[in-house]
Amino acid sequence: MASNPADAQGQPPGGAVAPRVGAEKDDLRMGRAKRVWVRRLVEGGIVTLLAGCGVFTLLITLGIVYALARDTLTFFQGVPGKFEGVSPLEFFGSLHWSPLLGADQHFGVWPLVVGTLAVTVVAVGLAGPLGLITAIWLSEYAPSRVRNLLKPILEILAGVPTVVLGFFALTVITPTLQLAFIQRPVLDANGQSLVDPAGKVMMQAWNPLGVEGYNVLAAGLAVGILTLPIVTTLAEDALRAVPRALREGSYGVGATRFETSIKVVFPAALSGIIAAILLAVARCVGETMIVALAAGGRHVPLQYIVDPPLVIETVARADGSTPLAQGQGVSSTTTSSEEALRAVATVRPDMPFEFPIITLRGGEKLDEVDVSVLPTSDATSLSAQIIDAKDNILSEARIDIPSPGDADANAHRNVSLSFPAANLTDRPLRPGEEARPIGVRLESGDYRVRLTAVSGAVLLAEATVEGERFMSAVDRALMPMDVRQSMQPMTGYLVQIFLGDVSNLGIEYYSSYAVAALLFVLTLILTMVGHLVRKRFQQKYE
Amino acid sequence: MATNMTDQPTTSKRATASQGDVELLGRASEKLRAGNRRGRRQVIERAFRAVAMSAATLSVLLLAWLLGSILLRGIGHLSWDFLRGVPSRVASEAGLMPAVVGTIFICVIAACFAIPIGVGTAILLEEYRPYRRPWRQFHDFVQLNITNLAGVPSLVYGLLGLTAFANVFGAFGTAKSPGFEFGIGHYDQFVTAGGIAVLTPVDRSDATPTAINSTTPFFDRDTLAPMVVKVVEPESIQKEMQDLDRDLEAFSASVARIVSEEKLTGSALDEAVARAWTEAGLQADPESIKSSLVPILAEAAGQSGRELRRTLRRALRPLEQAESAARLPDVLLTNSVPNRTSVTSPWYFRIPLGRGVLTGGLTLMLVILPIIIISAQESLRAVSGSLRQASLAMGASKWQTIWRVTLPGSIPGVMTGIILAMSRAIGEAAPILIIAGIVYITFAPSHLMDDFTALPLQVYNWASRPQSEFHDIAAAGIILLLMLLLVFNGVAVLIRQLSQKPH
Repeated sequence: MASNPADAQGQPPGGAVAPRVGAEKDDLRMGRAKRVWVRRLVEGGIVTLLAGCGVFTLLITLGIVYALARDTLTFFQGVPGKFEGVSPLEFFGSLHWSPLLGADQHFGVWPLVVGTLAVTVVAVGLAGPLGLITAIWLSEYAPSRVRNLLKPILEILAGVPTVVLGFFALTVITPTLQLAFIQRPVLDANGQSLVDPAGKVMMQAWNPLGVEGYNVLAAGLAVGILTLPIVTTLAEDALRAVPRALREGSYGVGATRFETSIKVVFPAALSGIIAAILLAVARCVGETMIVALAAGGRHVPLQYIVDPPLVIETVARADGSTPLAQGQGVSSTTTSSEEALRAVATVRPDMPFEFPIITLRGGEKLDEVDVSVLPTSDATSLSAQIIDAKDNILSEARIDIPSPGDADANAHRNVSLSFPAANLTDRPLRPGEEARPIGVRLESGDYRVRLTAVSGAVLLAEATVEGERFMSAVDRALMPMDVRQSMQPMTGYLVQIFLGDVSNLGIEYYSSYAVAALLFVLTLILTMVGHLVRKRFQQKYE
Repeated sequence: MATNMTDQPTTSKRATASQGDVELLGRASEKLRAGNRRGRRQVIERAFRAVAMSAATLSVLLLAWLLGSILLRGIGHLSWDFLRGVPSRVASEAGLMPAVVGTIFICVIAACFAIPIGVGTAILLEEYRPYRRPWRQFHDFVQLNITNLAGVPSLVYGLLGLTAFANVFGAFGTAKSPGFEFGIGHYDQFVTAGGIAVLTPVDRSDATPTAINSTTPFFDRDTLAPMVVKVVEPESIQKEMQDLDRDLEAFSASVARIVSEEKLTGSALDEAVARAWTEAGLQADPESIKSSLVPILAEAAGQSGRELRRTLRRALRPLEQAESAARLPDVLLTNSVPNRTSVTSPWYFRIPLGRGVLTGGLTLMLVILPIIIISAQESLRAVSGSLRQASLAMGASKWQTIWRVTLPGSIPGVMTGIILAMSRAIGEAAPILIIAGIVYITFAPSHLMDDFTALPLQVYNWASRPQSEFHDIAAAGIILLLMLLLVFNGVAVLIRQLSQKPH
């Protein structure tokens, strides 16, 4: 390269090399001169094009910064007539995060940061020691045949899509942590075993550790598996960069291989190894699909350290006159139909039940609501209403509950409420018309409800309602940082927001940009510092 | 350090040896001490070796566990119907076709943009190293920028794609009422008294509903052929509607008589019903409703009274539709309320792009761009400098050298990088999730603005459901995903092997 000084301004040496030999004929020289001119133009054009590519990559960064900054500013300033802004003081100072609770919105980002931190700690706790030991073994001990075998395996592990690891965490790691291969019957408050609607005794995992279905531990371990190849590869590179002379000196004074590795090579490669860990942490912080699948949608209610739990207050206040807003405090009401799948709510005999509000988009309608009635219930009929966000009744339905026969006295009775489609047609939305959030309200009664709301072939939402589990979830919410429970990291919140239709969201939409901006800044700092440390380290041994 | 380590274990040995000769003791102690020291260090050495080896084996076991558990769970659900089917509420009927087609769409779009831009940037960074100060700073800045872009979480690219491509920074309106579009026709859909849908064109998707009169042009919903429609006031067809009701009543009464009194069955029943049909003066083709009428009449055979009336009412509903379609096919009432629909062509395009396939592909391009650039840079760097110098010495220009010497020399490396980037693109879910959301789609995208879903997104959708049947088919989807990745990585390895042979 040094022999060829050319710059980006488009003065390639090819043009200058064109020989000017006097003996050549005029026309030929004319032709050549023309060719040189064309050539210069082509070269200049190409350099401009390539510089354009370079500028494009800069534009990507600018675009990210602009896009995040613009909507984050909107989040802080507010939109007149729509919503008020959230002060940065609340965003960074408050411990209370409840963005989807409608009237009771709070935007203190710390619960999300803690969620991210918990995942990262678990992940680095696995990938750090395991990756470093593997790296030392690969660089100091392993014969080259084994190395050549293990490196591609690590590459494959690095190439596994994150959604696959998320699935693995949810369906394999979590049941393993729960020791699900040992089953025991589910007991109610009186020590009686529960029976499912089909009449079978319900079984559940032994679960001596008390690991929830969605938990940070499994998600963190999966993220650890993801970052294991990163730590191993980068740390091994660093260890191998340590000059041979240092090792030979160590062996020369009689050190064993272990002593050489730990006391000589490792300290010499320390900054490179720190860079490897930093880059792995950056990856953990930005990891999305694993935590979205396995860590669950509930954020850590850090505010409970300061305030008494919101939900217990609501439950205590609800004296039959106030309908209990369901899902509050456990999983907030949400516009995403997928999220409603996980809504856990309670129904009490003295209170109407309200189903988490779901949003119908164009082409969707609510056809039927299936309810499963408790064996103990003596109710003979059940009525339900479809309500909108302003409590207007859109449609009503009533159905008789069949009396329990002798044969299946312990079974749940399933009834299906169909709604006259007149008010909830499946026509596309008209211009200017907004998607309607709707909810389902059931009259009070003694039933355990498993609701499935169906539109055509699409399952819109489903919720299982068990009072007991709800209460225990509230109790556990008092212990904020617990990796056995579900926590929502920053990326998990973004997924929750963008899963559904975002066009009718207000401040929640902009809050996601503020969270993303924080995420971007965090990973940017980690990556930059990581690369800087790595570069310093590489220069040291050049 | 060494003495510290050996003090403790040697004390007792020294005590037993103290009965013997002092000199011997000294020598033995020396030996023991040395031996012991070596032994302890050897134990640590061996222990560490064992720990390290099991740590390395653990990563292999993790991979085996991961692949094995998914394979065992999903392999039984992988079938041709599963690959060809469309998502469904019932797990056993669900399929992958829209997701596979969506993935192909976005990956091809991403590759079309990312490969030229990525390789171009790599050439700029590796081959055009400037010496003058401002240009060198620009160069270094681009390099630093790319290193950082590689570390940006893919989710953030999704947000950029949403802002920059789907909304174009809000500069051209919204996707619902775009600032620029072609290849689409907007229509108001009316339903005639005979139950036929007809369309009339409007300018924009958010135009006010059409006020219809006798001059409004109408088109067929499926073929878009012009149709003649009579626009009438509701009052003017009152007589026709009453006639219709009367004739249907007459038919219903005679059918009731046939079924309950004459108790006919088989072909005799068919003949009697056909006779009643013509007697009542019904105009629809009897064959058209035979399929729905016959089973209901068979059901009604043993019934009487209210039960029979209820059954007949059920039979009459499709009959009424068919009859009104036959008598009043093209009569449109002036008070009909339209539905806004649109008809798109395969080349439909709009700005802003909206949350469609093109946006998904472009966003994926942003994700894989840094990967392609960095790998292409490495392989360009690996091309020997003497080759370049030889080319330049022969009088080739800078670009000629790059195009005919450097780039061909680095093709294996560049190709490997591209393939690895594409395998990343296939499995990437987070940015696509931001762009597409979770939507229920039973069709392949028909134009570049169409809603879509992708393979990893479909897997996420199924995996996030509580029912374990959906987890089973999610595992089957993952197997397909992993097989695709295996093919891609296999090709990459093959290219690497082939390119290494000549050396």
